[in-house]
Amino acid sequence: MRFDSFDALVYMDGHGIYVWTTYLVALIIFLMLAIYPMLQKRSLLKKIKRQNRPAKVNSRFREPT
Amino acid sequence: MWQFFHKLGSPKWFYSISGKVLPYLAFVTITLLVVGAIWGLAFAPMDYKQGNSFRIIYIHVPTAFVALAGYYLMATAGAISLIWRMKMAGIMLKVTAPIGAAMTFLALFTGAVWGKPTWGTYWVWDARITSMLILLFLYLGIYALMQAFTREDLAEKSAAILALVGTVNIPIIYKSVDWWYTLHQPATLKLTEKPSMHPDMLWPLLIMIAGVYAFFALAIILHARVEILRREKKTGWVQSLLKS
Repeated sequence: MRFDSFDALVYMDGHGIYVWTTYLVALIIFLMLAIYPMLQKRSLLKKIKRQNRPAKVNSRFREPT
Repeated sequence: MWQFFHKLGSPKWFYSISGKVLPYLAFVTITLLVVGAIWGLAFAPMDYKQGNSFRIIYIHVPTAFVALAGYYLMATAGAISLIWRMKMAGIMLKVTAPIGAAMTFLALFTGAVWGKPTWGTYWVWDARITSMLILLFLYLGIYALMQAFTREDLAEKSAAILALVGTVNIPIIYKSVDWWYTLHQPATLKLTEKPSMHPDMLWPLLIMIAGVYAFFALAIILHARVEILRREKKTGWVQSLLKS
């Protein structure tokens, strides 16, 4: 490692705040770009399955006999 | 050859192939990004002029590369969907816009944060930065335009035209550092020249560039698969996919 200690790696001679901010923001955006379509896919599949099911007849409301 | 193009245009074929490629691509992407980031953050030597702030390069340059490459992809997809009405081209046009916008935003954001310790300011209206900002607006404009239409074919057509018109910005971005010699430094990496960077600094950069490209492909595939399912939900192959 180029740094003497973990603290030095975090501090980076005063530039740590800039460096770590960019890496953190990049990580968040990358994760969002990857996770969002996965969530979307899951809800879409649920929706398609629901639409495919024949409409349920509510058994509590029967035609008066 | 033509059969290959025919297949490439088929959402069903794309869906099944991309599903097989996905786990490998995800593995490669994560490996490259983790190795590149750790190498760049902790092991690359310090820049003698800029100190440690130069480590932002490992995010800045790859995302800027991909922001531009993404625009090529989007404009090409737009042209193909205009001329040949290929289904997959329209899907690519739609999913590339937000991902490209995210990459452009990252390039601008990391540049701004890097500018503070290096230039003493977050923002200047430098030619390179301004033309990248226009690229961001183009991406966002194309995305917004697609959302503005309820009819998908009209949305695709107008977004494709805007994407093609916007390509005028691409050579401006590339040449901006040579045409207007302002704050932004000229390109660090050139295909035709030997890199001026030390190999210890260069390797992590190349790994990060490969990693961000791989991530870009991964994100496009993930988004495209959802879009394919959404558009093709009534077709037989999606229905049989759900039953299995």
